[in-house]
Amino acid sequence: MVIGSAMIAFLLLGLAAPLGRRRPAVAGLVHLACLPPSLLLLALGLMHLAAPPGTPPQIITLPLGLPGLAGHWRLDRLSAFFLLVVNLPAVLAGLYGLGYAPHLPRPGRVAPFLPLFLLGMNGVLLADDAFSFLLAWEFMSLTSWLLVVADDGNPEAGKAGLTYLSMAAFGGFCLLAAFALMAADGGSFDFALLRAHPGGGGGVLAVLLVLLGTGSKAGMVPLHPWLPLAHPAAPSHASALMSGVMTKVALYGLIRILFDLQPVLGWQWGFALMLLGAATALTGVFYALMQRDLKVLLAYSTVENVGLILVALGLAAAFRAYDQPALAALALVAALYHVLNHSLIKSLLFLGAGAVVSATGERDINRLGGLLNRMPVTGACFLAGACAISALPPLNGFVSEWLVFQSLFHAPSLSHWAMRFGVPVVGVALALAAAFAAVCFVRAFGTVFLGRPRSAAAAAAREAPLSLQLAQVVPAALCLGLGIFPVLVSGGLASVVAPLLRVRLPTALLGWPWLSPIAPGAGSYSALMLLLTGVALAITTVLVVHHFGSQRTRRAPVWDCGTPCALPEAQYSADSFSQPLRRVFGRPLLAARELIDMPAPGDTAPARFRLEIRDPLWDGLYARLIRLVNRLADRVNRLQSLTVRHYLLMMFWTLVAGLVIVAVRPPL
Amino acid sequence: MLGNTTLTEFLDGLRTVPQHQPWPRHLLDERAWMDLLHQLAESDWTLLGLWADGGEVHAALRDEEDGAVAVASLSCPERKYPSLSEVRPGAIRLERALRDLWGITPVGLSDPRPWLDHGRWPVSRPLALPRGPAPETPVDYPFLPVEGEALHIIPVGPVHAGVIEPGHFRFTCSGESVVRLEARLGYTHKGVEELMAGKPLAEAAKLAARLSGDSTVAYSLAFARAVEAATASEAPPRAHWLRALMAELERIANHLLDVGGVCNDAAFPVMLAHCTTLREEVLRANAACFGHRLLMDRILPGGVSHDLTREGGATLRKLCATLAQRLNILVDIYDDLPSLQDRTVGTGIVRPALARRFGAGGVVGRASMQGGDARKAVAYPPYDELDFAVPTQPLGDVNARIWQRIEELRESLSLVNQLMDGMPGGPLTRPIPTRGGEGMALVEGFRGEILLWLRLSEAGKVVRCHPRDPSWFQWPLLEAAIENNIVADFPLCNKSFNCSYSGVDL
Amino acid sequence: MIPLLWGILHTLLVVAAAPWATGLTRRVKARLQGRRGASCWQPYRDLWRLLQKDSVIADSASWLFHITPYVVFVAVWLAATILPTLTTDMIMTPAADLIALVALLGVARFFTALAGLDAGTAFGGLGASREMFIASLGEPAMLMVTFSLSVLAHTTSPAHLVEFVLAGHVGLEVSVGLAMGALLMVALAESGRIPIDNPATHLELTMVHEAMVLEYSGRHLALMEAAAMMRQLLFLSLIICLFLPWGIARPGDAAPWLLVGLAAWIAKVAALSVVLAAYESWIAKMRLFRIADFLGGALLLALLATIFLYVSEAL
Repeated sequence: MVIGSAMIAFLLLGLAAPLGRRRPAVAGLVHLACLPPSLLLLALGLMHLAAPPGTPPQIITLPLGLPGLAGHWRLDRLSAFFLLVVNLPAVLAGLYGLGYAPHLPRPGRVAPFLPLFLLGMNGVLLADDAFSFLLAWEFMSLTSWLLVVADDGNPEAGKAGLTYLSMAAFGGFCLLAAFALMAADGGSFDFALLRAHPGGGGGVLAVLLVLLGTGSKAGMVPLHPWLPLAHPAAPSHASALMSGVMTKVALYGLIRILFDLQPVLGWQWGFALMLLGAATALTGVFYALMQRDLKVLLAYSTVENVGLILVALGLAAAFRAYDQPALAALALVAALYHVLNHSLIKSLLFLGAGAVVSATGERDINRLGGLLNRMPVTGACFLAGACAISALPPLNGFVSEWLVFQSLFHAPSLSHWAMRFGVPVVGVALALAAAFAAVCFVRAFGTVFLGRPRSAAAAAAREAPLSLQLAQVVPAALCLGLGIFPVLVSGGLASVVAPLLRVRLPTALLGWPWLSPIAPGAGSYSALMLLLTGVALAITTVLVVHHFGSQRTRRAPVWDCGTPCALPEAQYSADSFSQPLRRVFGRPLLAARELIDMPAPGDTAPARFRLEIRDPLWDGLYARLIRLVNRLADRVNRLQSLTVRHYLLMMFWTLVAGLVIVAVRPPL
Repeated sequence: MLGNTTLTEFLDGLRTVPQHQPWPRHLLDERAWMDLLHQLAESDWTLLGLWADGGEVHAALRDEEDGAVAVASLSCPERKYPSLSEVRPGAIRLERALRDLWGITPVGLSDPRPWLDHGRWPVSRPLALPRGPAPETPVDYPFLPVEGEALHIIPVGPVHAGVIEPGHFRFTCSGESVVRLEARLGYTHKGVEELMAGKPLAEAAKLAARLSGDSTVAYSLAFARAVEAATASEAPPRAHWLRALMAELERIANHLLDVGGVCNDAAFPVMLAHCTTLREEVLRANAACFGHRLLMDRILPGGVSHDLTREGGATLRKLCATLAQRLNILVDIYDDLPSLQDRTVGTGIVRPALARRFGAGGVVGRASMQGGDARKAVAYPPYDELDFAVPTQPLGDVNARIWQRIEELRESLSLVNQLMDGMPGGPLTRPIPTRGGEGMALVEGFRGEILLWLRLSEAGKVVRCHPRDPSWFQWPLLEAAIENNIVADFPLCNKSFNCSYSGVDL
Repeated sequence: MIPLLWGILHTLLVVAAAPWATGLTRRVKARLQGRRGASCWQPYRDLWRLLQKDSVIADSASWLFHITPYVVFVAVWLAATILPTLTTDMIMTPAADLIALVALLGVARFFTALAGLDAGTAFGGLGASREMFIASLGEPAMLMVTFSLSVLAHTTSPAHLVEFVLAGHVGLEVSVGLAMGALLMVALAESGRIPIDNPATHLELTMVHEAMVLEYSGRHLALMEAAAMMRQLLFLSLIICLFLPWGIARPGDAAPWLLVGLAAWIAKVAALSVVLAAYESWIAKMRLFRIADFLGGALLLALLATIFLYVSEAL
């Protein structure tokens, strides 16, 4: 009932919004109107999670859908948790859009699609049959595509939209085929029946298709190239939702199918997921490290975090295959914790990026700088986000990373040699990804917010309006909250995971302040204790320093070696910052080459520097694929202008082929 | 006229200035100067120096085939002359300095920026008559252009964190990769030429000795030899031998410090500690034998001021024996330390062709296959009687410059022994006659060949004195040595060059 | 009550002892170079002198620049506090395992690098870029050392690792040796010693840590310097704690054991400082991009340590 009204509210908003498309203010109002239904769904999710263990899922059947197949909708703990993940950022995006949307170049092309996009995402979470699931999934894809191409003056957005649409079509097709296989095996499109059907599940092909379908939406390598094109092309609050939330909805699909609908998978699937996740994490963060466009950087960072979650999911699947439910629960809790964290952090960062872009008109971080002095609130919030995503304690990003590492460190107990040798390698990949993420965000925050302004626009920036600030302060505070009380959060997540794995993860074996999920002596973490001790030490430090030392502070020019150089170039650029890593890793991975043309001493001709970077994945796979498709299209085109004799011949051979298949095929 | 001619053939028949010693000075007209430019493009004569005196521009040249040295002079009443920079890039900075000091414009020089004049002098064109007014604001010095995205600039100096001479280095980089390096010097400009003008010989000799403190012996020697040439006098034989002894001791002390210094810049301070103690022993021996640790003002026009006593000789022989032995130990350390070799081998390469183009001599040149050494090329006494080799290295990297110094150290130690063995007796000085004239000297300092040119008035006072430090032709090479190297390796390159700031700032 | 008391005592001990360890290293290095060297207590005088000076802050710096010294100092102090050196019976020990310790040092590094970028100078950026480059390989190596130890002892808690080793569960294993090698390499890098960084250099262009803190002065610089000293002590303590834990008191030991622990710790820190000084004296700083090979090697060693565990298990 409540769900239905919220959904209808989204639908009506989406349909009503075009009426006021000529007035920018209406766009703001539409965003404001998105708040109540989002809040409602958020509350609903929370209430369901807070319900005592054993509370049955709520099920609704609606006479909507295919002939003979009613629409099944269901709210269980997993859906409830993901309602939280979707609607919390949705609330923030609505709040943000209130102040932000009216200033967009084409607000009328954004306002109608945002509520519809939210409708689609929430629909995916609640669907309980394949048809409704796919319907909501495609709805989500389509509305998000419309958001990507909202800025029709931007040719980049057009290209991004095309890439996104082809990838979404590919993903949707994979899921469709996967459900068809599962239905063929399990006898129904209804999730309840699939769940009840033991064994089956459509076999290897179905799992592979699920992986491809959800993976392509989540940005799994090598299906990710659309993501850093599409997410940044949308308006920033929509980017926040696509990057922070839609990828999580895709992961929800993966979790729902692999851990709920499918029978227990072999460990190989878990292993494959881990390897894919590790590759995704490393690729994502490494590309993020090379980016100049702030929003593209954030999009690549999303790819990295999806990789981290995939590793945790792979671990969970592997533990489940080896019948170690406690460790599987640990890994799944870690994955879900990171889902929640990343949805918040990435929303926060994209909203911050949006504030920066609208204050300066610049997305190139090499043309920003010094914004912390001019945009203190945005800067402080972005700093919190950067710290959180770099997994610094006591913020939330560290907790989920800690949980992932803890479960990873116990994975070698799985007896297969591939796991034993593979897991440490995955560990290296994750450790590198975590370290690179810190480099990436020092670089991003450092060049955007610190130093001196690198352009006139950056020097003239003003702080964002109040609604934008509020939309950033709230998630920043939540990042701290989710970081300080990890026992509470992971306890809640344990209850989400319990129905899936039939085991409840203990989260505080050492007592309530210590996150110690495995064994009392196996390693523990307490953000609260760290924070309290840290505060005590900080107070001591300040008191001692100020009591025994000088308290005076003078302002002076920077140390200039005797030659004041006010040029903005006399500070590190973002490209320069990551050059050491580009030089060490970029040569093999990106075929990066620096071409330096240095004139002879005394020659007044300019020295020249050029950087060549290629994306081997795009060149090697996608560019070839595009060429292939183009060539095929040309061939098929020729089919349209054949003679009647040729058409008749083709029909004849088709008939023969059909008859052969019928003859050879075993009877049903 | 073009083609395979020698310098002597080329200048033969042109008007010669009578009182210029020991090499001829020819007066060229504008056309002959242009011919000279064309000939320079064809031949590989080395530009030894370029300076002005009143309304004349002088270029000292050497034909490396037969060792002939000559000065070509062009009178430029319109205060401009065709620039040599196209054919001899080593002339660029000399011409810029000359323009700053004299207001004489090199036509065809592509770089319009001042060099020594930072716009902070109370006058402009300080050596020209009349002088120009001071600029109202310091010159805004545009550095050479660099094209490329997202590059950053590192301005280093002139004030450094260490106790080193002031110079500004402007790096334009992408991360650690250097796209362009440009040096700006002139911070220690002292107005030496102006200070020298009108000074009696004794005072001028003191000034010359203080142009670049670590080369005080070499500069004193160059000044003394130039004065002796101008006045057609000769120092007594014992003075020659003592001068060479001091010059070698100076070379030993400085090379020791440089070898240690390069290692220290690679964060291997042990070497510096040992080298510094060795150098200290040399300095103490200097003080014991000649009464001054750095041997400042020991060489005077006409002779030397201090004699070497028997005890002094014994001290020096002992010093040489210890040095030779302990140097071998240090060389073994250097040679056996892979971590150190890894820093120096292949770092900061100066290609021989480039060193040749700039006419760079000294350690920097010889480490890049350039064999020039005034002790051999000019063979001023007593080196004509001594047996020594001029080593060179083929690779031109930091390692080559270290080895060059080590090998030169060994040669110098052998020279010191030879000098002690063959030291003739006799007086220390011979009086300098009071007369006018022009003299030039080429002397090998520890950095390389020092050129000193002077003109004396009939009253025996200095009218014009131009000292040309070897670093003039070495500094530009540093900008090329950084190619394909990273920012972090620059200090190593710089230290291995160890060029003089004070010497070129004049 | 006892764990709380030991915790507080330990907190004070690490901050008090850090300059001494640095002073000792410097003195031994001076001796090896043939110099007399300053006394071991000189770092205390240096810090005191810096404290007394006014702090000069660049015009372009933001508020981040003001708080960073405090954040960095506290983060490193916290990490040093948690790591058991005298006794495992301290209240704070379970608050952070090795992963969290690495992350706490990460906090310090993150903020130091940001402060390097804050003033908008080329040198600050230079240092920050290099520091993060080094850390991007050093930190994973450190995590992999943790991984291999955790596979061996089934715990990431330093206190439990100490007890595991002291209980005699570890023999002479290849893996332990490899992990220790990796940790030693990381320790050199993370505490900014030769051959990675040269804390004594005056050449701005070669600096790493010093370049980042170049704009700091007065009490802020004192805090940054003290944090660097404490980080060096922390890594010495970490090596002691994980690989040479003999002498560390355990819960239930009588109070006198703590004195034994203290004496053992001081002796071990002094011995390691001397070894560090000797090593530093006989190696030049490596080329910047060789650090990738060096720390990549450390990462590989740590990975091998994990894999060797199975190999030795299978044999």
